[in-house]
Amino acid sequence: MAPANDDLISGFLKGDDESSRQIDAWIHEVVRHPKFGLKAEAADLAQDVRRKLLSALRDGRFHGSSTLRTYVWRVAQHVAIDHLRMRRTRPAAVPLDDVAEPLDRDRSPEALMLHAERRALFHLVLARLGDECRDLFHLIVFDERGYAEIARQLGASEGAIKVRALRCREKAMREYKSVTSQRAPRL
Amino acid sequence: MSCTSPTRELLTFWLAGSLDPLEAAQAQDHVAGCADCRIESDQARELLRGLRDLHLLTDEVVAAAAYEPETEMVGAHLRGCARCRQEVALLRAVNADLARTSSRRRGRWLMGLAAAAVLLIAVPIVRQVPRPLSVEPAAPVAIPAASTEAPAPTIPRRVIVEKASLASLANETIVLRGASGPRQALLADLAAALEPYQRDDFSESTVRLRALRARRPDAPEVAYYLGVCFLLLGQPADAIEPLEQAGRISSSVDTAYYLAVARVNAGQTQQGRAQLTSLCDAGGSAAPRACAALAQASGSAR
Repeated sequence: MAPANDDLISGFLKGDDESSRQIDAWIHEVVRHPKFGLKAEAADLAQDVRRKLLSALRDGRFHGSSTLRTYVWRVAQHVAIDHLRMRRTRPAAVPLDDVAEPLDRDRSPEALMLHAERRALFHLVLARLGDECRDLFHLIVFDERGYAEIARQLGASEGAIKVRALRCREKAMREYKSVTSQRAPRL
Repeated sequence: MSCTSPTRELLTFWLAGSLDPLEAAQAQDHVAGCADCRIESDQARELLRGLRDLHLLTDEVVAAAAYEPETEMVGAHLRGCARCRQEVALLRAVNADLARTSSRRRGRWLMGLAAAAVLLIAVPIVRQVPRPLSVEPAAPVAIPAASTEAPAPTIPRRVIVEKASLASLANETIVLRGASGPRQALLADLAAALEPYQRDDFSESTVRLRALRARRPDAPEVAYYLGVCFLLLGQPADAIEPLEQAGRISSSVDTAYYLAVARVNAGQTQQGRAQLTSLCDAGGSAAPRACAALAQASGSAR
């Protein structure tokens, strides 16, 4: 780690004005970037970045593999993307807890491993579906589009899309059961 | 499954939250009164929850924006999910701005230093272009965030790519307005193909440019912007062929910078760096970008 980084980090952790000003400037370069459009929320987010940085630097999670500035930018980008995700309109029929929340990187290794396994499982289910159903799930689940919009996009009738969605859901459930039953003996 | 209600066809959309309020209420009422559909919707809810988990984690978005190597799962998801692609594109655009800003600052700093040197020792400064190369890399590339992974200094770093300007096409469109002919038709087609590009939807522009290229293989601009789109999508290997073709069709289309970056990012590091060095040393209009790209690619002073 460059000495300048060491000095800045120790100054920041001690609450030194000059170090804090420098780090704040880097944070603001990201959270106040016009492309994020955060405006009023930028101050709160900057505070959030500061809090995360304090925790990370205190715990020695910055290893000096980049400059401190790049590290600060990256933590700030992380916070900004998390915020934009939280601000998105949430689907109505799924409880709030179920909407893809940013995974806390401080979660236990076991929780992270379980999450990774779960993703691998659903990745496999999706891969087994075939192009037609996979594309339809991309539109329904990832792009959050309704059947009318999908029908327009694919040049099909609304009725056809509803039927296709039902068939694809049934197919996905079969694949899900097949994948989980294959995996069960290994657990 | 014995339920034959048409509402059953709506369950996926209901669970995804994309039905209008009236349909959603009808679906909810139906599920409340139908045991079969209740079981089915519980299973489907689990399925949708699992599929939603495939969205990239924030760490993965930040890493993809920095052009770090991605897993097969991340790559597959990015190809299918416009929302995650947009997040990555957003961060790449921010990174490009940050790199530009810091590059300008370093340039000013070096110019100041050079001026001071002239005053102090009265020796002419030989180097004509202040190059931001003697300090850290300009852009946040290939750096693990808050992880315990060791750095990999021997891996060539990727260069953050900026969008190519559409100004010359726009100017030409204005100049030729009102006329008609094959060139105007091409410009109109290009404008339609590049409309998503202006919104940073490079994926959609790639689709449109590919289709246009099949019809107009003789148009260097089509191949050029297709190559640039591939680069912006993080597919540098795919960018090389159209960029090379654009240069072959017309020497007036300046592909050198993007071609060099595509080669560096695609792993043809030696050739790409040599081209960037040559552009940087030439001191032309592409020199500042080439010098900055070279600094990023090297990750160290040149």
